[in-house]
Amino acid sequence: MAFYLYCLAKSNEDSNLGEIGIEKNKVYSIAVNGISALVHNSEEKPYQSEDKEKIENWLLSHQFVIDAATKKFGTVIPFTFDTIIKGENELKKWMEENTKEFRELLGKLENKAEYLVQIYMDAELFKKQMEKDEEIVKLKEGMNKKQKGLAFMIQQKIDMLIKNKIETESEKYANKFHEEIKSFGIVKYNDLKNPPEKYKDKKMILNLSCLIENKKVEGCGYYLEKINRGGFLVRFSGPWAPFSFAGEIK
Amino acid sequence: MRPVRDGGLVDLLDTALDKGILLNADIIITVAEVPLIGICLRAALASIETMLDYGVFQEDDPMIKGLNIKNI
Repeated sequence: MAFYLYCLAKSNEDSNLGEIGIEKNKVYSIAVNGISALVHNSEEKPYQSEDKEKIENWLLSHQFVIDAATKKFGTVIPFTFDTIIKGENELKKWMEENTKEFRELLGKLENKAEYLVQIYMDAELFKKQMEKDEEIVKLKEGMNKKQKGLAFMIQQKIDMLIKNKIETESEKYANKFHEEIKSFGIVKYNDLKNPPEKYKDKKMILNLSCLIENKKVEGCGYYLEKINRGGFLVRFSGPWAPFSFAGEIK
Repeated sequence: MRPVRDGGLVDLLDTALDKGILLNADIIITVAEVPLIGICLRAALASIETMLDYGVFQEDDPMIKGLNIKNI
């Protein structure tokens, strides 16, 4: 029999979290040296499907168990979806060999949670502001006096100029915000992709995963609110288990 | 502002599927084909064209070739 592993937590007791796992499997703990692995009994094969609803439910369950474990144990080391350990002896041996590392990691993550901070710029609004830019105003004035073909080329130049200015400005702001957000915790860059649907028409300029101490969350929220009122859109998502900060374990 | 979980599936993909500890050990069941799950799910979120635009994957990506995209 194999074990689907959700997360590790600091606990020495045998716990039963109920049938909350993927496909309603019973989630329980296997404790070794004061560290508990939250698992369900699994077949020796990964969960795979092309049925998106099914996969979505699996992912939701994975997340749900990690949330439930966080609630019960405080801090957890979350594992990625579909981590399946071959057998009980293998699991226990691995936990014994890595007890020290797990303890250290759990210690570092204690009283902290992960938050996603995404900052979006309203590019259309910025474009409108750019229309007052001296360089652009001059080009536009010149354009009105030119012939059609030449005017077209000037328009292209204006478009390029605006595009470049948006890039430069967004980078400048992104660096500034990044520097300031760093004062609230440990910060990692994410790619500027995959915004949720309602932000699709906005330009994402910063996408950070932040490990923030519980007592600093309010201050960070206050700072983000200031950015949000200053012509940007801020997403402050969380709290999540420290998915981005648990590192790689051998 | 207070943190909220409003991103739905996108945030789930960014956490549970893309992150979390990856075990590099011989004690785990081989999950070599697991990225397919990610691709299916991401495809459910956006059309393939949009995904290509965003550079999430390339047209000649072997993982795409292995999928019957029409059925997604």
